[in-house]
Amino acid sequence: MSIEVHNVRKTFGNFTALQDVSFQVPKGELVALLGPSGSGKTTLLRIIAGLEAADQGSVLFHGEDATDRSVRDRQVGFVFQHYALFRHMTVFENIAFGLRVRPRASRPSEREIHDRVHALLKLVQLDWLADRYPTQLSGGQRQRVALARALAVQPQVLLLDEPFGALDAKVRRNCAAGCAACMMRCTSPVCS
Amino acid sequence: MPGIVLATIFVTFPFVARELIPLMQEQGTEEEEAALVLGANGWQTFFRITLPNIKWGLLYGVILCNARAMGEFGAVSVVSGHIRGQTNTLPLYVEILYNEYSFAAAFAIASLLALLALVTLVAKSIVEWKTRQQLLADERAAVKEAA
Repeated sequence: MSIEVHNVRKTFGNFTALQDVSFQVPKGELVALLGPSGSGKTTLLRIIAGLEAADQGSVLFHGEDATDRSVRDRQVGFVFQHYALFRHMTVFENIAFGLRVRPRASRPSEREIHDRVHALLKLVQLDWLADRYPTQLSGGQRQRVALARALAVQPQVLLLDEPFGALDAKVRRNCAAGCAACMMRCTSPVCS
Repeated sequence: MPGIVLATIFVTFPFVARELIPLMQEQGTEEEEAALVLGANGWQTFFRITLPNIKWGLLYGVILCNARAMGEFGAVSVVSGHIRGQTNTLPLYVEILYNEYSFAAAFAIASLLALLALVTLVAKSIVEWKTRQQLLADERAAVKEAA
């Protein structure tokens, strides 16, 4: 799915976080947003995801205006900077969450959920950790769980907010390679 | 009766709120946002994410609240009609019995209250221990993340 951002402006009080930002991401493209800290990368991603409302401007998915669409209807996957894993759930339940909260009509059966979660865990090479809690994982493992959780709902767009920010250089390289492989399955990833 | 409930709520709910507000502030809104992005609606987010995260804090608040409600005298005494078996609480009953010179009964009720206080104390300690375990686990996770 293609993303278009038109003249987005966002201010927090007196501080202007984003001023007339416009860009386009064609379908199937992997794009990285670069900039010093405090330059508004996270804010921009949050606006695209719908977690934050822009003061001005619009966001288009696939040529359709999505500015007023709610977070739930945007079909985006979001990997947070600090992963935001659900601490009271096991790795398995974390990844299954997006499938379990679907309305009954479109919710997959328990068997399907089980299969899909394990397929995703295999993809990120963590299927031996399904019963652990997030606190029992290392940083790199958590990052991969967060990625698997975002991919579980088969998003049209995948947004990653500094996905490797909390990892050291060596783990980062491994993860980046792994991520790139995973993302090929997804339509349009944007990283910051 | 509704008066007693209202008066008690008024003096006890701040205990729950004061317990929960710092806890929720510390936990932040990231997990709730993650749930929303994954397609959960407001209720699902509350019952599956928010509530489990604050459950020990909430229970702790409820116990403190209950302790306070059990012993509440002033506010309840003002609004209650002091009707035996209908609008009477244990502390009010102690007062009535005492004023009627039935000391034995008054002390029996007072002992009952004291016993309930002990039960509450035990429950509070257990929940406090649980909360601390959770906090320690969170902290350890934070340290690991920073390392």
